[in-house]
Amino acid sequence: MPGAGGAGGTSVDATAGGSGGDGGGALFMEIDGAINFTGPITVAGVAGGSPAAGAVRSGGGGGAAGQVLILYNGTATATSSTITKSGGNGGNGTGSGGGACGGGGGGACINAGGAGGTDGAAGSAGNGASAGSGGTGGGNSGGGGGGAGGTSLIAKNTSLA
Amino acid sequence: MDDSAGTFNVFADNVPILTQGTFGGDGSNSSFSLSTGTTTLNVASAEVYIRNYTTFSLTGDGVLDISNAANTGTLLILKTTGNATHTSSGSIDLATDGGIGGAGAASNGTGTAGSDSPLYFDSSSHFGSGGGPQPAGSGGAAGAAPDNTTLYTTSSDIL
Repeated sequence: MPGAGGAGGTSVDATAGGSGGDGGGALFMEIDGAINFTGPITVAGVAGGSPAAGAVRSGGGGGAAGQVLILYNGTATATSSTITKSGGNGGNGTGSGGGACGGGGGGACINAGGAGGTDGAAGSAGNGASAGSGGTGGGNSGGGGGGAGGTSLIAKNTSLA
Repeated sequence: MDDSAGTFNVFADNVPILTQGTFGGDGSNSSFSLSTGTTTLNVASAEVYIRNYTTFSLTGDGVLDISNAANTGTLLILKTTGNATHTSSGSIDLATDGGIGGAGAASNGTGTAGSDSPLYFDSSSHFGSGGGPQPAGSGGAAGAAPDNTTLYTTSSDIL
């Protein structure tokens, strides 16, 4: 179903951290006839925002991808559509200093402490999908987590009954 | 998935949450045919937007898009009583139509979580969490992708 939006990052000063990326929508098709699908379909998530350099600001999380489910009842001439279902990359953090952690793909702070900001974690991949990459941490700020990849399936309806 | 009675149900934990009538719909929106340019369906913030076509044809370089997706994301359901063709070099484009991203925070605040959809079929956390306050500042995190482990009651096919 639709991918979730990424979360916003934070900042030490009056300038906000990076905004989260939007998720991808979802497509569900019921075809009570034949199918001929070779064209592209995309439900990808959007990258998180990277704040402007200057202070300690963290990047936004990438949006997660949505799902695609296409069921048909007739003959299949082709079902080779390229379905883009990658999660959005996390935004990059910025700033200087020590003792920070990066944003995790699943929502957790993955690596507290350390001399500098830690890169965000990549999201989890869906079936055959690319998850978003974690953003690069700044000196004291984490990069946003990468959005999770989506899933897709094109199948003859009777095979699911 | 239960098509034995001519109905189509989507289940979550064996509870039907979407019942949309006969598989393939009723064709009440006539046919869809586009060979060039972009057709944008205004979903008017609907979380579920359904079109019932007799046939679907997207060819040439035509693009099918939607506008005004719900803040929690939109599920586009396209049904056809007949055949469906998508051989266009353009796409069915739902790339930005999921939950909206959260806003970043300033002054050591916590970023806003991303928006989630009520249509998920599992118990994972799909919305991102806000970045932590400084100095342990973390970037906002994205939510997990959905899966369909409870979508079908009898299927051996798992996304």
